[in-house]
Amino acid sequence: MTLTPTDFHLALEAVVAYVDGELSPGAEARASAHLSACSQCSLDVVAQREAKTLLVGAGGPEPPGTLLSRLRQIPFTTDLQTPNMTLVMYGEDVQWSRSAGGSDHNGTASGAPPDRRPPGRPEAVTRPGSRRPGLSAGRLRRLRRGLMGAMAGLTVGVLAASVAPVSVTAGAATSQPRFVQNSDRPGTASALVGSFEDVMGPRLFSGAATGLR
Amino acid sequence: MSEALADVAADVAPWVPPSWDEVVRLHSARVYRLAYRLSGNPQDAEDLTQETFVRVFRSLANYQPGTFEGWLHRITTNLFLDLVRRRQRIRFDALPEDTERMPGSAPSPEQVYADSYLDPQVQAALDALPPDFRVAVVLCDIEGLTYEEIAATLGIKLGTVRSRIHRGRVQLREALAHLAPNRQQAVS
Repeated sequence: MTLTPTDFHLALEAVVAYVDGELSPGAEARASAHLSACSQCSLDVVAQREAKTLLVGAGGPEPPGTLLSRLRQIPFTTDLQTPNMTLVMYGEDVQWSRSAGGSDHNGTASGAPPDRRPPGRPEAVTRPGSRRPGLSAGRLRRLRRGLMGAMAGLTVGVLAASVAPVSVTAGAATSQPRFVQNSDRPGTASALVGSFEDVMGPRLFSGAATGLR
Repeated sequence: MSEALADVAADVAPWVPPSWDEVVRLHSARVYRLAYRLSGNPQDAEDLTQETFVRVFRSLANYQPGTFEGWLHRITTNLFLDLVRRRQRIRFDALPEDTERMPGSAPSPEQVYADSYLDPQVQAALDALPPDFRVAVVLCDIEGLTYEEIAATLGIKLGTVRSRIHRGRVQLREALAHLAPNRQQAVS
């Protein structure tokens, strides 16, 4: 315990852990004993403390109001996207569609053209993600830009078209029935629709959560 | 912040998910601060914060009540490291900078300084650290996480956490020593 030879020194990892109070009581006592006798290790400790002191308690700028508005808009500007599938609504039809990669543009075979969709009705709904979406930041930005434009100039109903043009090809789902939601429970599709409408309401995620079950 | 959510989780038998406005109100300042300290500039901080909340929104339905803030830290830091790596690749390939960024509401340097409570020199020294060291130091000294929390956030071993913090602080001092003699010019 009271070894104080100065021909050995604290490991650097012990120095940093000592400064941050991350050593076990026993190890901390041994380090203290050594530090009382070793100026070299004491200098290391001082240096670590100095750097730490510069940062501790540093606040940060408040998020700008424009950012806060964008954050609040996320439920209205973001699709709940799984990596590859998007739930697309055409009138009363709800279908899963490939939302990424090599989709052919078959047009809007199964539904009304985008500009004739009922306004105010969400057109593209995606299943609440069961895993992290693999979107690149670039794609997110494109999504955002497309969405902001849509929010500014168009009805919410056109969102699907601007967010993910490929999702419009849900019409392809008619020729690819496996993309239609393959649940054995017939009520599931409407449950998901309901969940999205809940998402648009004040209690966002209870609805989304139940939609998962 | 965390207490409020933890209380909700403790008092109510089935976890009641917060409204989105609550999520934004309770956590945006913290996420933005972390993003700001990591990236060192308001534009990237806004982008990172936005992307963090988009991910939160998309996976909140599956969120297990627990360490909400730990989750936010993890998303933010991982997005930051992704961003850095992407930029490094882009620079390597000599491609132009990302041109698709949202127009930011960049405050003036004076405003940033007044709001940020961190010497611009120190932020500059922080910005000069390798990203992996910077993340470890920021999580430890600014966010006040324990080594264990940092290890969990970054998915690295405790020994790695210790050595990154140690080396990060050493380099921070060195960077400051370089910056200090010509503080006036370096502030830019």
